[in-house]
Amino acid sequence: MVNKSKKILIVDDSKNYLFILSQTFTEEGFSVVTAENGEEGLEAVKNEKPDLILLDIEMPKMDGITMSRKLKELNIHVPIIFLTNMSDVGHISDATETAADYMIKSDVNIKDIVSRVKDRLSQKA
Amino acid sequence: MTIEFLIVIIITIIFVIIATVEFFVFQKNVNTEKSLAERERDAKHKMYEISILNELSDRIGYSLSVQNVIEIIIRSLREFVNYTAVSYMLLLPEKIIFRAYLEKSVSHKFIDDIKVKMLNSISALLNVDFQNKKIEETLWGVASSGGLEEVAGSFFNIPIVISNKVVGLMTVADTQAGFYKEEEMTTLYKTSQQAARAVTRLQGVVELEKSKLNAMVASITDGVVMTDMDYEILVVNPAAKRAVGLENKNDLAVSDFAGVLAGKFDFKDKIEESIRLDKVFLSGEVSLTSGFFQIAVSPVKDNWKTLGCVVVFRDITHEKEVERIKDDFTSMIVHELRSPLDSIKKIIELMRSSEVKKARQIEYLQMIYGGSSDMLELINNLLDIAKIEAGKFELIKQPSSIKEIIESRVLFFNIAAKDARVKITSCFGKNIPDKVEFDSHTISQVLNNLISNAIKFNREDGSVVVQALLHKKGENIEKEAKDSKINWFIKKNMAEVPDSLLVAVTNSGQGIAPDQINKLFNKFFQVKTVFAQKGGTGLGLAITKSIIDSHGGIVGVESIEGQGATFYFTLPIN
Repeated sequence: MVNKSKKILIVDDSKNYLFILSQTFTEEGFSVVTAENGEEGLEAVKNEKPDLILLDIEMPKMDGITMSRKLKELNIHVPIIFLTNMSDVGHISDATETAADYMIKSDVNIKDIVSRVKDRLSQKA
Repeated sequence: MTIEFLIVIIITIIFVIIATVEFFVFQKNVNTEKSLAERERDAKHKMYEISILNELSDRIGYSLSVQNVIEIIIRSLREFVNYTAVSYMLLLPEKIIFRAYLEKSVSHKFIDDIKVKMLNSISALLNVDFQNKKIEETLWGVASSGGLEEVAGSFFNIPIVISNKVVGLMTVADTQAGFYKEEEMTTLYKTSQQAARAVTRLQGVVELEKSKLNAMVASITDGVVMTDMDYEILVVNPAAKRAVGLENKNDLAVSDFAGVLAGKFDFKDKIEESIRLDKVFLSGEVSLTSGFFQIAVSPVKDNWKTLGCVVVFRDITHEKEVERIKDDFTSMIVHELRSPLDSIKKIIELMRSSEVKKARQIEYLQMIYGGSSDMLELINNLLDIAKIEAGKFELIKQPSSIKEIIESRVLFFNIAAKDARVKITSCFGKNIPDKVEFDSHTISQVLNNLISNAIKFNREDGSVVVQALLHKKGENIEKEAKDSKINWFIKKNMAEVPDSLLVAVTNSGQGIAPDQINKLFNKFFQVKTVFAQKGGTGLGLAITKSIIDSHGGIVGVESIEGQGATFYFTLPIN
């Protein structure tokens, strides 16, 4: 079902988090690219053309919401799953016009993240 | 001729005497009566004066216009002066008011005659021609064409002078000639003078109070606007004009304010509501081009009567800014604690879920350790700052060796430096005293903070040098550094700094931009920049500053972008 050579971009300002997630997804057979803030994330999307983006919201330099808006302006339609803390949820619905896909970090396990990613990718197919 | 003749003569003499006496008595009576009449008249005049001034003082609370004053004087006039007509002329900017009160029926000719005489008098007084001035005429009494075809036979004028200006003329006239006596004219003149003087003084007081009020309102930093019950603006101060961006407009009206505030604050409605319900309103934040304001609307009352409304514009832009900074600070702290905790949870989850290789396990454990340490450091920093702000941060100053402390710190950071591929060394100037009074625990903390920053914000194969020298007051710091073979970025003039230990940490990182330097030691430093990327919060520097301040020293940083930076502090030697 899931094509194992799909590319995932993970954008988060916590190096530890990036490390954990990229380890996990690499072991699941995905190819992983990482970025530490919205600016780097935009560059990564343009250069690497990922199949899905796991996007943290609270980041320095450029936050997740702004980055997703910029992607929209550039007409880049890569599926995004926002990774957020409770406080951000309002912001997401303000910023995105379509129903945004998000997960609340503190409520989910890594397993949950992985299965959501797989679901999302299989929807596209 | 005998006794009969003598008796007749004596009786005649007696009669003559009696007659003379009677005559004198009679005369005296006449004089007495006469002076009685005079006294009666004097008394009447005095009473007139007093009643006029009484009535004036009664009316002082109401608007005491010149016209009212004249009317008061004229009203009681007929009690002691006979006249055919009494009239007055009042000079206004656009016209002349002419009023005449007629006791007897007269012809228009009489009135015209009086008018002409009055105009001539005023012209003469002021040396001005009134030919073209419009005259507004009101007559009380009967003026007919069939009346006495007579002109004024007797006639006298009283000029009305207020605040040294002739504002009009009062005239008493009669058809008969030679009618008016000097006493009557004098009384009337005196009374008018006193009334005019009273009005002048009153006007002066009102002007003074008004200008005091204006000065006070003008100097209030909040915007103040006062309206009357007809929504006319009575008072508006410069601050109010600035708040709505209408500084250069004069004669502002309620509609001007309502226009600027349209959609943000219902100016007119709120004023009306405030007066009607006798309530004070406080708005929420209102955003204007000049900043954020809070608007208060309140009715203005004089005992029971509502005079109008006052609107106050309070500038809360600064307060809002402070609030925003505090909010940012709080959310930064929350983020810095939540992030590592979440990572740690995930790592542990990973470690539990699958078969994790030994090497990987050690890596994960290191990450847990790192995350926990960062959080612990943040919490400790927060506690320190709380203590400092509550004034409960205690220093225990004892004779301590700065060399020892620096060397122990350098040793401690050796490993961290190696991990970061940075070289760390120390360099001491000559003549550093063995012991100096300071709190070794907190100074250690300061060095920890400065050194860990220096290692973090460095480049690969860079260097961190911890330096110390003895600075003497009046000496040039660059020379002192050179003599001690110390290289750093300090160029500041330290001549005024008293004898102190100067301790510095110099790194070879990317340096700091000049506009960032001021913010560094502020606990509310914009964290979404350098610190956020490399980890840490910048709180350490704020704590460092507090510690050094408490020692009586100074902290500072100098840098050359692209080359590096030197963070330094001084410890005074008592």
